[in-house]
Amino acid sequence: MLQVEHLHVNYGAISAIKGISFTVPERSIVTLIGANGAGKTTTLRTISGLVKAASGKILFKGEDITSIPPHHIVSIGISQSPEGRMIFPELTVLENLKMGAYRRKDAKGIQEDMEYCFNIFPRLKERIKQAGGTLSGGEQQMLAIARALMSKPSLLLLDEPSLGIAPLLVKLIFEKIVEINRDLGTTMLLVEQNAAMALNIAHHAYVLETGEITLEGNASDLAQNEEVQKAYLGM
Amino acid sequence: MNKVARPYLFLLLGIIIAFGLSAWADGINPYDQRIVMSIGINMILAASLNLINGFTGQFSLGHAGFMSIGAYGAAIFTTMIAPGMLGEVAGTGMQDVALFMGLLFGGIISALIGVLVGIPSLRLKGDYLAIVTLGFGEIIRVIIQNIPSLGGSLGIANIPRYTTFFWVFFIVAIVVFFIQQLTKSTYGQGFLAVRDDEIAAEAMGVNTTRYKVEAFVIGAFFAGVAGGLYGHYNELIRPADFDFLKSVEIIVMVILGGMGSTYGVLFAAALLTYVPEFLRGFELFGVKFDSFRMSIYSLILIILMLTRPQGLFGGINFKKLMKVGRKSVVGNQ
Repeated sequence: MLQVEHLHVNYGAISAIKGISFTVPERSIVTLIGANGAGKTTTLRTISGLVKAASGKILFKGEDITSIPPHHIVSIGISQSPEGRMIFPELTVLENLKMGAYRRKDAKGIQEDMEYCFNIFPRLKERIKQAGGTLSGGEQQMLAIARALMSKPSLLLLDEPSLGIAPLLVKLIFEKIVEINRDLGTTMLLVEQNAAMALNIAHHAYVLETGEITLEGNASDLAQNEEVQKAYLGM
Repeated sequence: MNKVARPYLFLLLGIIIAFGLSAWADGINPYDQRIVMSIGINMILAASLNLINGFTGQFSLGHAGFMSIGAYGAAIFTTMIAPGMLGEVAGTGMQDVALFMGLLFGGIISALIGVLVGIPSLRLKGDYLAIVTLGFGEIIRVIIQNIPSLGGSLGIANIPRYTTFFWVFFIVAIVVFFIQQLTKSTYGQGFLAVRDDEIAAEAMGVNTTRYKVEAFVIGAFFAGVAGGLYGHYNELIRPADFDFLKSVEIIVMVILGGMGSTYGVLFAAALLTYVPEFLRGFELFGVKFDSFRMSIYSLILIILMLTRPQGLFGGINFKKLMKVGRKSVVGNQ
């Protein structure tokens, strides 16, 4: 579904991504793991058009989307749950979700998807009228994922869903991610520092180190890999 | 009350108030008239800047620049273009038509310049945008000052006095109605999203640059209209009337009223226009406040900002307030 080929991204004179290539097959969960500053978020932001690529290609369903502006990227079916949640603090939960469906016109479909989101995250329904900024970190993360789902994406980009959240909630959120993938067949690209959790739910994994992919493979195989265990799983 | 009908009722109420004020206008002295007129014009300026600064979160410091464009545009229209089109209009019913067209003319020119300034500069954020818009306001002023046909620094005099209470408060009602409808609509939620988190808004598929430019252009249009009203009341416009201080004055109204709170901003516009005039004649224990009224005015600003940094009406949810009020009434029964 998504193919990234020889992607280079620079911030000024500093090159953040040095020619990475990877693919995300349809209906799968693929994860990019790596330490701080490895370029994980940059990769996601380049896919969603928030950051411009210096060279290389991003293909989505066979079409080149490398230089498409972000508001069009959403229309073609890619949405992002950004790092640090970035929910709209002064809008209510309901308004946040409506913003997620900003590009859609089918009122009925929006309603159905909202029902689905409330089904998956009942906590959001309880807080429907509350301002986004008053939610707890975990609830905000649920909202960010639900909001991203509201655009009915075929590819969902998840940026560090475990960041700054209580461990119990992290577990819950990862379970929900698997559930969404199973229920809706949404393809997912998950970027994580919490490698153990990510490898646990992903089908395929890539290890990103200072802008380069150093390892790749089946997620369960990588979890057994000695280097990965030492560097990312703390074993 | 029906939720959809409510804003229209408010609009109707605003227009009725405008009629009421214009009926009352003849009975009061010119000094008080001027204060009420300034309050109305400042309300338009503050409410329109609130769309840019309060709702969309872009810090613009050039509102007086747009006001001056509208003022000059409208004055040129009524003094040079209108006589050729409409003939002698002063004192007849046609003067309102001339004023209306003049305001529209000034507003549209101001909006067009808003597009020109907005498209390149709204890519900038925060402080940078503030500096660019500040520069823009000053450039406009200096340009006008150096065009002899616009009167240079002497400005344009003998502009006919077409502005009436009715026009000013009618336009206040229109601006408030328009901004309320815009920001409450599904489309208008985009403005709030851009303010709350620009990157997230972009990731949701919101074309953030378009929203920012739109807010800027709508704000510029109404600032231009306010400028036109000002010129046709004051009968004289000079570049010095639209300097940086005027922009700051409008910003203070927006911040004091509470960013993004339309009614708060209207209240602050009225308050901040009235207080300096009130202090002019104020006497306490035989001390006249006239000579140091601006120091007191500044002191009031400082105290208000220390005690209510979110603005007078910022963060107040009127709906909730009314509901709580109702509940306590019911509870007492």
